[in-house]
Amino acid sequence: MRKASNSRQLSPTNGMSTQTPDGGRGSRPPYFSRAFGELAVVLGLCLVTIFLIIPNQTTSGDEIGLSPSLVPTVCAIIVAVLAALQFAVHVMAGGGADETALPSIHFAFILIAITGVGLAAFRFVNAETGCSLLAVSAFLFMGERRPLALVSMAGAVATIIFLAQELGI
Amino acid sequence: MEFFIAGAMDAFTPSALLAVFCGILLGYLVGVLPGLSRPAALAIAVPITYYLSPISAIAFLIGVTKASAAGGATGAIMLNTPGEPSSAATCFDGYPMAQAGQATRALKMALYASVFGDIVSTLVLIALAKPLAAFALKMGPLEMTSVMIFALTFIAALSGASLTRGMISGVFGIFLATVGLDPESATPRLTFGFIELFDGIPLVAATVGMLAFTEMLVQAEAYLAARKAGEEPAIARRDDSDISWSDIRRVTPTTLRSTGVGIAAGIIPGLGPTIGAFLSYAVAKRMAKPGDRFGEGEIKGVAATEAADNAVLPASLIPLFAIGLPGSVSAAILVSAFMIHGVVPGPLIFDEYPQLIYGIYVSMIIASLFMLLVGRVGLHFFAKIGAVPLSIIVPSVLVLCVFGTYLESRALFPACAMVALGTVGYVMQRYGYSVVTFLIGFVVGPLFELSLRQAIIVTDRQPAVILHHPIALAFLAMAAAAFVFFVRRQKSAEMAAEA
Repeated sequence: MRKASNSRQLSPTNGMSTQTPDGGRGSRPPYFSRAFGELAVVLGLCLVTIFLIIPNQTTSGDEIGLSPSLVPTVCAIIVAVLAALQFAVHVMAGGGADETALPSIHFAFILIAITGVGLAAFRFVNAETGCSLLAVSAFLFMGERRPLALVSMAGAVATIIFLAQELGI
Repeated sequence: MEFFIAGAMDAFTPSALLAVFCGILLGYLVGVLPGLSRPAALAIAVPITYYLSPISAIAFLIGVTKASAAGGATGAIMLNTPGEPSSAATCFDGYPMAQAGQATRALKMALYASVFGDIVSTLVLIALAKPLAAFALKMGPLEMTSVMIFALTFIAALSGASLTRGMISGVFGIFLATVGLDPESATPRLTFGFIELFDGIPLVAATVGMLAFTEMLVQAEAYLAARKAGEEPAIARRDDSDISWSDIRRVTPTTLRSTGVGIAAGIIPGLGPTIGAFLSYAVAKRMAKPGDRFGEGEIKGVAATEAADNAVLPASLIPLFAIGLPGSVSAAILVSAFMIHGVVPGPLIFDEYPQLIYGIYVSMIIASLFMLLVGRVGLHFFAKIGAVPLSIIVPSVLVLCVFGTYLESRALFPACAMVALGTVGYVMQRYGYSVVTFLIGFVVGPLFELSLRQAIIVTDRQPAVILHHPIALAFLAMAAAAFVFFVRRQKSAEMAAEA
């Protein structure tokens, strides 16, 4: 006979059961939390889309043909159903292959921010400045520290953008 | 015949020839440089074609696509770093050959096999596309909708580890394609008050953002992580070998078989060049003769992967020209180039633009021959270019992404949309949602919506009417069967991984 214990136990089958034999609640396995988080995000976005975005951002077609909101709504519903199915399959399979640690996201977001700064300079100064700033900032971020290389990059980009605009490309 | 002659004359104009040649050069550079994939390069090359004639524009992009497939082998052989994901299988035998001092032999075999696979596949495209288009014209909206549902299911299943995530990506692509004016009532839909969105999300912004920009983020992340770890790429030994007639005799059956595998991978939506190349390598390995040393520097392995890789693109244009359905992401990007020039790919293209289509066919053959010439002359030069570091590639490509999308309408809105979609693409890719399926869904979205609306009107909202349409029923049944099969396979794979 198994002895009831207070230790945390995971379900050997699907990870959905989170109760210990004595009826106490144990912690969910990490893959469950991640899969549930994914489901919550996708489902939440779908609900916002169906009940908030589509009704507010779609004008009635005055009964001409089919409703303009038909296809977007159907798409959002299908995505919600597929997200639920993804969650079910993932949890029933007990985790799966994609539970490896993801690389740090900050490199990518710094590069996105650099592009944003370049776009702002493009908008408020001019194309040559915006593109040069983007190129040099990204070059610096990628590890380049030699002044000559950085100046060459800025000069080359500004010249190409200037010529492209002057030649009417 | 007169259209063929007129199309051929268009293809032989100096501007079209120059466009193909420049496309081949650019494609080779892209293929050789690690970190810039073929779809990404194709996406950033589309804005360059705004001011070209339709034939020059398409010829240029076809040149880029074909040569990048061939050039991808250079990095795989010399540095064990494939310039293209589809060239990864070439590393298995190409790199050991280079390590054994047979780099020239491997590079030449890769080039000849690439050109062979490409030309044969182009001839198959010429032979099959028009008859299939004639058949497709007989299909009604119900059949077209069913074919697209089937194709999207298949593409979603094959473009990533998870069918459900792939399907979500594809449906999300269709959803974003609905942004703009409603096709029936012309009322704004999901535009958030932006007049710029009345024509929908710019296709170039979507392709450049989702492919090139996303890829640069991923590559930069990997590069910086590797730099932190202090990893350096391996360099191959100097070579002292050349290809012989006995090599050519040995690899001919393998090359023929692999070309067939590549053509099949191109025609079936979703398979694409990477799966085609790996499948072809697996077939070649399975049919190995005694003495063949696959994985240790077998020249047949190089020929198998490269012939299949290059056979995919021309074959993937068959469903595009026949029914307007891009079979691969490269074909999907070519759709945007066609549309920029006012041409809508699909079965009617043979009636509406016969001269252009024949011109494209002739340009494709010319591109194959230029590919041979450029590849042969620049063999050693391209091998050296492969050493350009990502620290230069990433900033340059980011500038091209921003300026290229700006050029579309000389406005910053497409560039901002590109960055936004690129960020979405990065997050999607990070969590296993295929950007390829997204893009194909986005490209076929308008056609899908039109067919679906027509199907609903034709059937008078009675689902039972589909029982009188056997072709539509068959495709829907196949889509359902594929869905069940791939979901079960996904579950089994996840259970195996867990175990």
